[in-house]
Order: sequence, then structure tokens, then C-alpha cells
Amino acid sequence: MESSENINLSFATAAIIGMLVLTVLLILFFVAYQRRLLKEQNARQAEREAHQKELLRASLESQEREQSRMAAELHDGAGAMLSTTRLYLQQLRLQPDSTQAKDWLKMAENMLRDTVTTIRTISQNLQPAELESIGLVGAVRTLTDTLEKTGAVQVHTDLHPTPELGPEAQLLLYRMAQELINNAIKHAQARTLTVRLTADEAAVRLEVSDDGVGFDASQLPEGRRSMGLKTLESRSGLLNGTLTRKTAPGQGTQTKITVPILTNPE
Amino acid sequence: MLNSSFSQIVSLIATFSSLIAVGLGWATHKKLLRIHNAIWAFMFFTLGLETTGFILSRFHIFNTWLYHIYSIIESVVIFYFFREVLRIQNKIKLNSFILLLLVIFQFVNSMVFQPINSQLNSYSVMISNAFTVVYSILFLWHNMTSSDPIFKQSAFWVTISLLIYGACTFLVWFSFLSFPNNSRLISYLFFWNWVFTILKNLGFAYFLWKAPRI
Repeated sequence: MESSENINLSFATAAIIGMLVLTVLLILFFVAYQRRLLKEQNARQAEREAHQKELLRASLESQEREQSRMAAELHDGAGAMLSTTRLYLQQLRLQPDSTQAKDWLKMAENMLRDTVTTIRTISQNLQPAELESIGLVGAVRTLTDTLEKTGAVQVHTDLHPTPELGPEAQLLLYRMAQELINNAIKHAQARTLTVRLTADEAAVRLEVSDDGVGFDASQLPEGRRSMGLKTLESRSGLLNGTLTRKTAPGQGTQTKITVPILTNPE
Repeated sequence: MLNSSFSQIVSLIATFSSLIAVGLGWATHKKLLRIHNAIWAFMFFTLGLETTGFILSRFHIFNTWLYHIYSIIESVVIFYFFREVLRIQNKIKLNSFILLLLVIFQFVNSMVFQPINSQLNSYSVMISNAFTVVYSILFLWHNMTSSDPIFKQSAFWVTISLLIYGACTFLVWFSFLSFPNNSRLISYLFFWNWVFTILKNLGFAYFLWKAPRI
């Protein structure tokens, strides 16, 4: 009888202690699992923040570069032209009866006309008027047409209408197209250029390829990379897009930017 | 197996362990949120009931009816605790229908299967403990994705004390039902019941200690 009671007692003790251990293990599992999730979450957050910081830095750098370019264009272009105009007008005021007076007046007039054109170009670069009036496809087409008219490069286009995009997204895509075309002419010495703008329900794709000299991305100096590629990366990042590039020395360059429609800022 | 005086000390501590929570809530209950006030009131009720049970047992007066009432109130409070905590955290909403079923079962059990004035309500306690385990696991599960470490929440400490209390006392009562004639085992099981009751009351005391003041 006593032996059976002892067995029951031992059985109950083992069961209760076993259950206690099991419960504690279950609690430890939950705590450890939550700690792991938190750690992963924090790592992802830190990564996102670092990426955002990098985007912001690149964006500021690009803005700074644009402003410097604009300042240079205003100072060296419009500023210089207005100074020359002032000199012509000054001459005209000092020697109104000179035989050259008519020429000075004509030159001042020409100079003022050129200044107006220069300022219009600067303004056009700041916010292309075509974007608002004829949309992204029209603006890119104007860009490629202007380029082709120079005769320096042959441009093939494959431009399709894009779904409704906000003005900021359009401007960023336009700027990226401008930057890619500019890079192809300035650095790649391309003779032929293909600009493709396509879209479906999920994304807008901008692709610019050239037959230029190409380059070895790993050999690119850090400074150059940060100026060109990082500006493009930052702009595409602002639209939650992705940028891929295929290039090799002597093989031309193909850059593809994919911007998801659902997640673009507008 | 257990020293009888040690067992008596544990029994006394268990009887008055709710005093800590009552004391902690006493000074601040006017500044507490509704959920903390409910826990404080429950601890007050627990203290009163345990004291009455203790006095009745000293005079050898049958006191099982007290525990029948207590287990119904305890089920309601534990359900309310988890429902409020999970609601405040915007996790899930526990359906009050579950509680209604549980209370009906406990009531029927006290009237029919384990009469209020003659038997302990082990069926009710076991079912109620099983529900406590489920609520606790639900709480832990839904808090796994919290952005703050789970152990920083005072509700977590109540939950683990309730989980241990629910899971282990379930076995205590299961053993009690399995070997009803083994008196040595029963006193031993009561010892464990007191240990887990102390743990549960300490969990509630911690909850009141860490309660935000309004």
C-alpha cells in the first residue's frame, strides 16, 4: 500500500516538475525567438537608415552640383553677355554720334537676344516645360530629337506612353534620361544611342544603351562613380526603383532603371 | 516526503501572498487604470476569501463552497486581464462567449457533478487552467512581433506566472482526480498548489507595482 502511494507520489512529482520545466522552456523559446526577431528588425532598420542616409547624401551632392552648374552658367553665360551688352550701351552713351553707334546698338540687341535664349535654356534645364505640356514621353522625345539634330549621334527611340505619374516622378525619370544620354555623349563617345521607355501595370522602365567605349565599373575612380552613378542611384532610390548596368571596355553601356508604379512617391 | 511544518509555512504564505498586491495597490489605486484596479480588487477579494477559508478550516468548518465561488471569479478576472491587455495592444479581441461557456460549465459543475458543499471543484479548475494556458500562449504569440523586448512589459510577468500556474496546477488537479484516496499524495499536491498560487499572486503584485499612474 505504502509502496503504491510512494509510486504515485514520485509519478506526480515527476509530472509536475516535468510540466514546470516544459513551461519554462516554452517561455524561454518565446523570449529567445522575440529577441531574434527584434535583432533582425533592428538590423533591417539600421540598413534602411544607412541606405536613406546614402540617398540623401547623394541627392544633396547632386543638388549641389546642379546649383554649381547653374551658378557657372549664369555667371559665365548670361552674366558675361549682360556685361558685354552694358559695355556696348556705355559706348553708345559716351559716343552717341560715332559711326559705330549703329553697330553697337545692333550688337547690344543681339547680345540681349542671346541672353534671353541662355536664360530660357537654364530655366528649361531647371524644369522642362515639355514635361508639363506634353508629358514624359514627349519631353524625352524632344530631348532625343534635339540631340539627333546636332548630327553628332544617331538616336533610336522606343517610347511608349506611361501610366499616370506624378510631376516629381516624371521629373526624376526625365532627369535620369538626361543624365544617361549626357554620360553616353560626354564619357562614352557613343555614335549610336538607343533610348527606350516602356511601362506595364507594375513598373516604368527606362533603358539607355550606347555603342560607346564602355568601362570597367570596378576600375572607376570613386569620385567619378559618386558623381554620376550615385546621382542616378539616388534618383532611382527616391522612386523606390532599381538600377542595373551592363558595361565592359569596348562593349558599350546599357543602363536599365525600373520604377515600380505602386510605390512611387506620388 | 515533505516536512509538515514547512508545508504549513508554505500554505500560510500562499494564503496571505495576495497581501503584497493588495498593499501595492492600496496607496495608488485611485491613480491606476481600470485593468490594474480590477486586478487590485481581485487581489483584495482573494485575500478576504483565503483568510475566511483559513479561519473556517481552523474551526473545522467545511469551506469548499468558497473555492467554488473563487474559481468562477478567478476565471472572469483572468479572461478580463488577457482581453484588456490584448485589446490595449491592438492584437486580438478575445470573444466573451468563451468566458460565458466557461462560467456556465463551472456553475453546472458546482450544482451537479461536484456539489458546492461537499467536493472540491477540480473539473472547473482544470478547465479554467486550460483556458489560462491558451490565453497565455496567445499573449506570448502575439507579442513575439512587438518592437520592444517582451520582458519589459509588466503583463509579460503576469502571463508567465499564469502560464506556469495554469499548466502546473492543471497537473496537480489531474493527479488529485487520478488518486483521490491517497491522502499523502493529496497533501503533497496541495503543497504544489500553494507554491504555484504564490507565484501567481507575485505576478499580479509585480503588475500592480509596475502599473502606470494616471
